[in-house]
Amino acid sequence: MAGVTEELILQLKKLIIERLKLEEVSPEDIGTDDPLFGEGLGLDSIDALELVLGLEKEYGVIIPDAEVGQKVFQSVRTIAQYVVDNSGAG
Amino acid sequence: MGSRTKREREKICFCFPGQIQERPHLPAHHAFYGDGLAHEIYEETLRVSEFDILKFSFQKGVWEPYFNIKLQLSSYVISLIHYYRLQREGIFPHVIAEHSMGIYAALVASGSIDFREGLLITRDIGLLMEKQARKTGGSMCLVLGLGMDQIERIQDQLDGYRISIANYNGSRNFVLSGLKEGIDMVISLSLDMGAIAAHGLTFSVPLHSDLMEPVRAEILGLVDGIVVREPKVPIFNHMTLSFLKKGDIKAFLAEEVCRPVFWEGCVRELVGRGVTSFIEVGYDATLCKLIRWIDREIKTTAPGDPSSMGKLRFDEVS
Repeated sequence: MAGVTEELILQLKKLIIERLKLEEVSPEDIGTDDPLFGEGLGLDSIDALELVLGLEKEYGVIIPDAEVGQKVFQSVRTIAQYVVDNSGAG
Repeated sequence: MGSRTKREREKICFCFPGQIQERPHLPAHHAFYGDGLAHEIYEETLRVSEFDILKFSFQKGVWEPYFNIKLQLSSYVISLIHYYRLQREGIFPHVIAEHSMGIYAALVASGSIDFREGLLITRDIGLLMEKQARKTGGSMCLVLGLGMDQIERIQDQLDGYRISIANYNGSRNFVLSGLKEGIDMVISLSLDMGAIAAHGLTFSVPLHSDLMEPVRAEILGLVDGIVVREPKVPIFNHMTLSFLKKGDIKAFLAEEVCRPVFWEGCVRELVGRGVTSFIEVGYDATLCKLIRWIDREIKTTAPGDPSSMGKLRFDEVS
């Protein structure tokens, strides 16, 4: 099974910026292990929905429900691991 | 000669959000603190409404008496402080839209009622809602990630709990109203069906539903004595997709609490009519996020989200 690569991490940071239209944020501003919600990047459930759609479009991975979503959207690294585990990308 | 600035080519819609869902947090460095205008408004709010909204922003704790009224007054005050600050910067709307209880601040911004009247309406309708909450026992919840067909299936399963869609916020973003027990079941069923999020809102009444019909006459009575002027800036009616006229406004205030917010349709219609930019005039950027889902190409900014304010710069072009 392929592991998480730096390239995938960078792609995902760009996806977050593009989907959420965070025009004043650059990939370097997003810590790979930082929390995305609440105190971290400050995202909310409406942002989560955008990311669900973005991951589906870009990587063909489905976030089936809120429980999985909560685990996947902890940080960029957890998203990357989910993408690797569910699409073989990376 | 003949050159136009980007600002002149813009068609700006100011949109006023509804009630915030948590106590506002204004950090120590917040722009309002150094602004005499903001202080004047908070003081006037205390004088007129007898609620100390500035103090409310500093207190800790989730709930206290009149919590929803204080949230609603906070939303109203914060929206209008941002509005007056934008005016001071020379940024004016071509058109105004509003979401849910954002109507009161929107009416002030449109020039239809004055600040004091808006404040009293906000407070008194809030008090009416508290009274109604004790009678109806209704509630509201947000469901994200399910489509309309799935929402309808949930409604069918909960026949008898008077579940209805209160906000059409986007293709997979709905707020539902209904009897409290039913709303608890909506949350549970939505999560079982794969919603990305489903949770209750702070409202203790089933706003934007026909369960609110009993208060329609009371609201009409409440607003009967206020002076309403023709809006100087056109204000858009999300229910009819047309502009509100002076003569419609009192009835609209009563109608709106009993009928859904058609936000998605409102945004699409305004874009169709040439709006190029939405500025959310409120606490944060909630409406901007809804608009982002509806139309990714349209420009959105929010003074409540300072990181987005760079987009308000309009460069000269020839």
